[in-house]
Amino acid sequence: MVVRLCRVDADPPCGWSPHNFKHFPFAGMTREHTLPPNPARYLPGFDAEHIREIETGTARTPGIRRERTPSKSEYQRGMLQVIGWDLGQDATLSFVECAGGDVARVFHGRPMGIGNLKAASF
Amino acid sequence: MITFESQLANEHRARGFFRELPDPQVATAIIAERYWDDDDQVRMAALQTIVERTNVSAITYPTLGHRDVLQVFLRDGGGEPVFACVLVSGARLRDMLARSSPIVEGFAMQVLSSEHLSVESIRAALQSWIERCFPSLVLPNLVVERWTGPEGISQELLELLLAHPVDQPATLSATDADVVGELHPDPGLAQPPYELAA
Repeated sequence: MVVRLCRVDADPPCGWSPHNFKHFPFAGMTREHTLPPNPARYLPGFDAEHIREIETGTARTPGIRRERTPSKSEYQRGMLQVIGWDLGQDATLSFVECAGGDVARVFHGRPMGIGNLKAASF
Repeated sequence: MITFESQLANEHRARGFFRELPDPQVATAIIAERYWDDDDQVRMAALQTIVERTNVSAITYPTLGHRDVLQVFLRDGGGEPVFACVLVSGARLRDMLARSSPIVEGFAMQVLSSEHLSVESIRAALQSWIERCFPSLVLPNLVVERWTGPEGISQELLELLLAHPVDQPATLSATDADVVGELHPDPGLAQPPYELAA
């Protein structure tokens, strides 16, 4: 089995994706907008550059990668502060997924709460 | 910009936008890979229940820092908001493509047919999203509201009010009529706070 590893620092590198802005904060956002089945959101004040820095930092942190499938890597990092809302609750974890095969591999992330089953299973 | 349209195994349609002409097989694979994620697939059931109704209410919120990127929520039977997709203008798509190629218009994103936001293009884009992601459904009647903040009013209502000025009562004096004629919309309404902050 060939495991396609994430190549954040390789050439060509995996590129960061804003993931269609799906986890970006928006005007008028409340915790209710992050209740299931809605996506988690970064807090207002987290702009694209800040989000990219957080998610890139998570993907570059050594020793936290999990190979979910041969073509998908996942990373989870505790941020020691609230960075967003997930399931209507404060989210203190940064969760990143890198996927896309060999041709156009990208990574993107989201804030995650410790109560999220995905976080618990990590 | 090269646009590549693909129909997935579930008959959903998706588009990929590329900076350079892709190999068709590679383009098809990328679009299928990025069409949706686990959360989108979970959310689809709730969304399908909503868009199966005859009348569907949607509200769009501007993304902070990107006012031409709208977050669309549909209201379920209990009035609770369910995230549908992100609408991006044509201008925003070009900006995204300049930074990273390809961009996939998957389940959680719809590109407007116009370069900039308008009431008509938002409604048309939402209809296109339903047709693309729920191909077997009859298109519902859509009521689309644009969020403008707790102190503002919806853009649609503002346009309606401005298009139909209040009739002047016959009992108005000449002085009162002059005052009415000089009325202007409250700038706070015409330019809601979020637009200033964006």
